[in-house]
Amino acid sequence: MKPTPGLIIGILLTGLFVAAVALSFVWTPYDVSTLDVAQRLLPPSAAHWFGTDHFGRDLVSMILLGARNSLAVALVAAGLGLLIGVPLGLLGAARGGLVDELVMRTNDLIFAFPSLLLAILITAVAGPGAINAIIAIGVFNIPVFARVARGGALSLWKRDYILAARVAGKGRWLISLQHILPNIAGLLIVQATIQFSLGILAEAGLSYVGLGAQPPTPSWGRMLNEAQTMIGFAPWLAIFPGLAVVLTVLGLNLLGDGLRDRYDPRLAEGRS
Amino acid sequence: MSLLSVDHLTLTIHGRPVLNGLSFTVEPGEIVGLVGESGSGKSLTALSILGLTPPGSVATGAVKLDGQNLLNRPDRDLQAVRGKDIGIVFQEPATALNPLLTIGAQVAETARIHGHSKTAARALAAEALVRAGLSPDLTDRYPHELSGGQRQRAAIAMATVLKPRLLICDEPTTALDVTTQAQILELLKALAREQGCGLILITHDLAVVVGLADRTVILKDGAIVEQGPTVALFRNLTHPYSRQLAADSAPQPATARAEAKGDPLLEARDVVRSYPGAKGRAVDGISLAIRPGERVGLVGESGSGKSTLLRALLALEPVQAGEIALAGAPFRPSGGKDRRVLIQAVFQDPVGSFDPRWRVEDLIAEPLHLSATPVPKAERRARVAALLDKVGLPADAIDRYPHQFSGGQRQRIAIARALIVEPRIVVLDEAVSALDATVRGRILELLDKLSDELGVAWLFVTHDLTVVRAVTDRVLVMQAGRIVEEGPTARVFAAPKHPYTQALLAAAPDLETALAGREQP
Repeated sequence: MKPTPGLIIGILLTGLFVAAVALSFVWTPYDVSTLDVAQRLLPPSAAHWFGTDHFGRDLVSMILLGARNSLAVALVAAGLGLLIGVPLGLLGAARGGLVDELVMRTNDLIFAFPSLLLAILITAVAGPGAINAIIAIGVFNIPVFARVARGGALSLWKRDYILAARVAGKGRWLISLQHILPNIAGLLIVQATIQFSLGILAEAGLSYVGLGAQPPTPSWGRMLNEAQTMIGFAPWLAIFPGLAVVLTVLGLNLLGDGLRDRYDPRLAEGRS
Repeated sequence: MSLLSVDHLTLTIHGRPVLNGLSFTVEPGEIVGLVGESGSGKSLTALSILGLTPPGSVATGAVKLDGQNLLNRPDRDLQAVRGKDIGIVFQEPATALNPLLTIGAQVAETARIHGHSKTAARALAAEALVRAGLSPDLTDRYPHELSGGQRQRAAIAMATVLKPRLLICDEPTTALDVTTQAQILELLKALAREQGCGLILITHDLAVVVGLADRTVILKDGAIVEQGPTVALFRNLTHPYSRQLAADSAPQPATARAEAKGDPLLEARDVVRSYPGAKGRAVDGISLAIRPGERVGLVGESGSGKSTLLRALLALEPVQAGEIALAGAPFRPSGGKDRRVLIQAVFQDPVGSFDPRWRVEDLIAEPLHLSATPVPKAERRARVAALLDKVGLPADAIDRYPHQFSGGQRQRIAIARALIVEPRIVVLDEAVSALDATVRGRILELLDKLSDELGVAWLFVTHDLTVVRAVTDRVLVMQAGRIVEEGPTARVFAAPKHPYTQALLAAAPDLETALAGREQP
C-alpha cells in the first residue's frame, strides 16, 4: 500500500524534530548560557534567523535546546504510560471478572479528571520541575494505554490460536506475552505516537504556567510565556516557539493517524 | 430465449486469468447448480453476472439477461438491474444483514431504492418476509434477535422483495445446521417453482445440488469440465475431476473395527455447565467415556452445547457439577498440567487457529511447552520436520508462515501441532467443516492413517454427519445439553432410535440418497 500524503508529511515533520534534538547535542548557532544584553530583542536577520530574546539569547539555539526538553519529557511520559498501562490492560483482558473491573474502574477514575488540571495539581503539590512534569503527564498515559491494550487483547482472546496455546498448557501471562502483545504492537505504536504528541503539548502547557522545566533549561512553553508581554514589539518571540510546538504536534499526529490507517485492522477492512 | 445466457465469459484480475470461456444458460423457473472446489471460480462467476468483480478485472464474452448484455455496462445501469431483476443471497447470514436496522426496514430498503413509495415498500417487504417463511411479527426484529435460519430467510426476502427474474444463491446454507439447511433449500425450490424465477445455486456440497438443481455445471480452475441435467450428469460422470468430487462427497462408511477395550482414557461423569444469564444449562448432566484408540463422533447442531462440553473435556473451563477424568485421575483447569500432554485438540478455523506472526516450526512446537524438561532446539526442529512429513507437508514448510498455506494445508499443520507431544487422545472441533469435499477427503484419509499408526483416540465434535459416518466407530448425539442417543456408528445410521437423530439423518444431504430420490417420478 502506498503511504498517504499525511503519513509522508508526518514522517518529515517528526524527522525534523528528531534531527533538531540530535543537532542540539553537537551544535547550536550560539551559546545560550551567556547573556548578551547588547544583542537583545533583535528581529530575525542573517546572523540570528529567528531573532533574539530580551536577554540577547539566539532564538534558533533556544528552540533547538527546547526541543530536547520536550522530547525528554514526552518520551519518558509516554514510556511510563506504556510500561504500566499495557501490563494492566493485558491483565484485565486475561483475568476478566473482578480484576478487570478493578483495573478499568481505576482507569475511569483517572480519566474523569481533566488531564492538565491534575497535572497542575500534581506539580503544584510536588513542586515544579521536569521530573514532576514527567510523572504528572505519565499518569494520564496509563489509562489510555491500558484501554488500548485491553481492547486489542480482548478481541484476540477469542481466537482459536489462544485456545490452542491453552491446550498447550500455557498460562495467561505467557499467552499474553507470546501471542497477545506481538499482535497488538501495531496498535500500541500508533497510540504511543499520539500520546507522545499530547505529551509535548502538555509539557508546553505546564512550562507555560511555570510548572515545567525550570530556568535556565530552555523550554518551548516558557519561551511562549515570556514572549507574551513583548508580543506587541517583538512578535518573533512568540511566533517561532509557537510554530515549533504546532509543527511537532501536527507531525506526530499525522504520523500516528497514518500508522493507524496502515495497522488498524478495523479501518483496513473498510478500505480494501 | 433463455432467461440468462452466459456466453464464453472470460475474466482476468490484474492479468491473471480466473474464468476461462464459461458458457451456460438459465431458463425461467430452472435451478442451475454451480459446483466445484474452492478457487474454482464459482463465486466470481456470480459476481461477474452482477458486474461486481474486484478492481483490476477485465471481462470478455457476454452475460445476457433476456437478451440484453450486462457485461461491461456502466455501474449506473447495473444498479437498476441488481435487486430488481437479479437478487443475490450470500453465505453468511450474520454479516449480510445490517445489525442496526430491523429486517422489515432492510427488506423495504431494496424496494425504496428501486423507486417504490414508503408505504408500497413496506407492503412489499411484509409480503416478501411471509413468502420467505417468516411470521409477520418478526418484521420489527433486529438481526441479532433472530436465529441463523431466520436471518437467512430475511436475506432471501431481501433478495426477492421485487420478485427478481434471476436469484443467485452463493453457498446459502453452508453456515447453517442440517435441519435448517433442509428448510432453506425447500424454500428456494418453492421460490423457483412458484415465482418462476431462475435460480443459480452455488455450493461446494454436491448432495445439495443433486437434491435441488435441474441442471448442474461443474467448474475446475475457472473452466467448465462438465454440465448437463443433474441426474443424468451424476449417473454418468466422465471427467476424472468430477468423479473425484463425487467420491469425496460420499465417503465410504468406516470399516468396522474391533471394539475398543481397556479402561476409559477420557471420562465425563454427570457433567453440568451453565452460563450466568443464559436460560437452561449448556451441558446438562453428560456422561461419556472414550477408550484408548477409539474413534468417537459427538454430533449436535449449533446451540446443542457441544462446544461447551468440549472446553470442559479439555479442562479449559471449570464444570459446575460432575467430573472429568483423564487417564483415571480428575482433570481440571487448575492443576493437571502434567496430564495435558495426554489430550490435544484441532480447532475449526483454519485461519484463526494460528498466530499469524509465528512460523510453522514454532506453531507446531508450541505444545512442547508441556514437556517436563525443555526440548533442545535441534531436537525440536527434527521432531517438527518428522511430523510435517507424517502429515504430508513439504519439508520447506517449516520456515513459512500460516498465511502461505491453503485451508487444507493449515489443518494438516494443526494436526501436526496436536500430535507433537504424542497425546493419547485428540479432540477435533469441526476440524474439517470449513474444507471442501476433496480436501476434506484427503484430511480424513490422513486421520485414518495416523490413527492406525499411532493408536491415538479421536473425538470428532461436529455437525457434519458425513464425517462421522466416514471415520468413527461410535457416535454420541447431543441435543440441548444432553446426549440423546449413543451407539456404534453403523447401527445409529442404519436404525436411529431417538426422534432427533432420525430428524438429523433425514435432513442430512447425501449424494446417493438424493440421486435415488430424484430418479423416482
